Amino acid sequence: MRSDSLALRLSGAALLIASTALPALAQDVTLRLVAPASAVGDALEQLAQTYAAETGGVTFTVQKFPSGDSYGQAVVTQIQSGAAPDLIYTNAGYGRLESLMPLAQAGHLADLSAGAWVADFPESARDVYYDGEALYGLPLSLTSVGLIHNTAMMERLGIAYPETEEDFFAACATAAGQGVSFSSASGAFPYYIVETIAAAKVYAETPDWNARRRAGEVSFATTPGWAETFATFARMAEEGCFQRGFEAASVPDLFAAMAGEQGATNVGPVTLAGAVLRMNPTLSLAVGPWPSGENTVALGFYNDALSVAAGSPNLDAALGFIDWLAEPEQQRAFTAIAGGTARADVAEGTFPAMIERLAPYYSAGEIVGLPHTGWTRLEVLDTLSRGATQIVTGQATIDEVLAALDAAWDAGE
Amino acid sequence: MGAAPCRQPKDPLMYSPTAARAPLAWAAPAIVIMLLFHYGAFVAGGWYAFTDWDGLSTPNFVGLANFRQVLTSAEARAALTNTLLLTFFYVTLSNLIGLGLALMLNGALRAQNILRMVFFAPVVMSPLAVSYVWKFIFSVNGPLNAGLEALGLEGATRVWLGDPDTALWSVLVVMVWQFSGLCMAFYLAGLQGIPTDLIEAAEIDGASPWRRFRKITFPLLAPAATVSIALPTIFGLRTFDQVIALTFGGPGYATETLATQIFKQTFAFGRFGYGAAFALVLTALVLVVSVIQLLVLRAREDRI
Repeated sequence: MRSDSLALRLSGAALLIASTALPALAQDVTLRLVAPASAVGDALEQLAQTYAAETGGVTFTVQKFPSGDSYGQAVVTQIQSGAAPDLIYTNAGYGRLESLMPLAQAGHLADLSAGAWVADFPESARDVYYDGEALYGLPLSLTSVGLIHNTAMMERLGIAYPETEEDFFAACATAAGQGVSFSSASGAFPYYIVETIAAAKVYAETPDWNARRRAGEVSFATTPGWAETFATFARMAEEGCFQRGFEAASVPDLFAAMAGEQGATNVGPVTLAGAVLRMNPTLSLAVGPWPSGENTVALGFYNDALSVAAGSPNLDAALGFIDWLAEPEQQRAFTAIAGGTARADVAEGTFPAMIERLAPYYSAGEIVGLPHTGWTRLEVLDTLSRGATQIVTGQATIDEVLAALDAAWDAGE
Repeated sequence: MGAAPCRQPKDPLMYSPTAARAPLAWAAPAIVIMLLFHYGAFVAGGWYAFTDWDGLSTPNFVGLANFRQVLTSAEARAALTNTLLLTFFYVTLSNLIGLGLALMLNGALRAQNILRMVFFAPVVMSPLAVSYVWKFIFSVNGPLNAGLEALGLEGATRVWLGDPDTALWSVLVVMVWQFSGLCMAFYLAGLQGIPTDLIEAAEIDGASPWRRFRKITFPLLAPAATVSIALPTIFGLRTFDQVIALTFGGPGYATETLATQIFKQTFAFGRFGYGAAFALVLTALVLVVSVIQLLVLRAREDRI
């Protein structure tokens, strides 16, 4: 009888242990995160591992795909096949396959607006993260876009940082006289240059130009700033600001030109500067605004984002990770690996030395987003890139390119 | 001279009663698998050509709208023109060079096996890898411009891949360079099937080398020519790797082809429906051109 009682007690204890252990087992989830195979993907992977180690019960499978078109294709394919990951690295607004707006509007992303971190959401990114009241991504960092310049090389060439476009063209002549190009461009993908110039010539005056274009109130052809933008780009090519043969250059060629000190400047995102520095750590690079005198503006956009799949079976765990990632410490850890400026640092007015020329604009809240993130059709950006090169190579006039841009925009309406 | 070309004796095994009686059912499993995984997928994918599917939302039926756009848009027309130009010159030049190499290497030439291997080697290389090497050669500070400058031809130097007048032809050079060896292999096989006694008889009768080639060798190369023209035609109509690696379709649309447009519309712009329509048009084009070509070439074979 006593042995029966002992057995009963032991069984009871075993059941109790099992019953207390069950909830813990139920919380064990594995989140699948897709990210590009780049510094951004590395940063997310490291942070995911840190979160897993700190919290317990949540593990991660990080899938990385090559950056560029391949990454967007991988994301769309997974979603199409009904195997969407829990967490998706996305881009702000529109412009790429992995951009969060089209994914959200098709119902594939979860609303994050209930997160505590939303109270500090950057105002300049609202248009490209919110659809109505719903928020579809966590902005990971501020990516600065501007004139990346080799300060030591400019000093050797005797060129001061240009304040106006005329200064810029004078610098082109000075550099050319010493056998180097002042700037570099990729004929296949010149959109950063064109959009940076357009920020000063179009968006400084009409910050809501994209919204007005969507409403049909303005067009590329009827906005003088766009014609001036392409005229400036054509002049840059004509006056030898770019390296010889830029029409055929690809983006990796730009990295090589800057790393090899064949060009002193380059218009692009701060991440390009990071890539160049990895190729040649001895360079001293900084990023400044496109020189436009009184119309000078600072471009910056919260391009890198993390979104949660709407159909994730682990929604709570995924949202928990997002909340943790939104904390300043994690944001800073992310930018330490991937580059850019943490949202918390922007709010505090603390900026890396590399972007000190942009900092006063950012501190004053004068941040202009990258134009194409508000263009709903991907073809418009492609038309812009091709059109700029077509103007330079004599294949099209500025008016024809502007008409093509409007046609590309209107084709989807 | 009037030497009657002769056919090769047929393989008796191919006409054996056993082979003739082999039941079709034996091949049925393979045929079913092929139909399901090859043509079934093709037909299923073809349905999207009639929709506005963007890869994310539910597709809507749009009838022939995608096809109308393929046939009327400026980009599509430019891509079609470039594809046809590339294909025509690629097939012509590859065959001329391939035939020349085959005739040269079919004779009693020292180290002919090594030379055959050397000329055929580019065929087995990755088109992407070959194109990246050529991209370096064509670059503004590359060996081609350096060579021209060394010869005192500074005026002839170009931004080969960035100039709309030369970009398409630069792509053509890479294609011809890589695949002439394939045509050479086809023609070599054809040349080795020509009975030597025919050639010798003509030689004894006093026929000149050119006459022997024109009246005996060339007509008997018809089966080899059929393959050597048909296959590069299909390759040419599908040109993709070289363009992506060398020019990415630029400058502007100067080197866009049907295949690169399909890729960009589908995978870069997310227009899966339109991309599927583009792909169907390309498939139809390949089919029509190939069938016409085969009919013409086979008719020529039959006349011999």
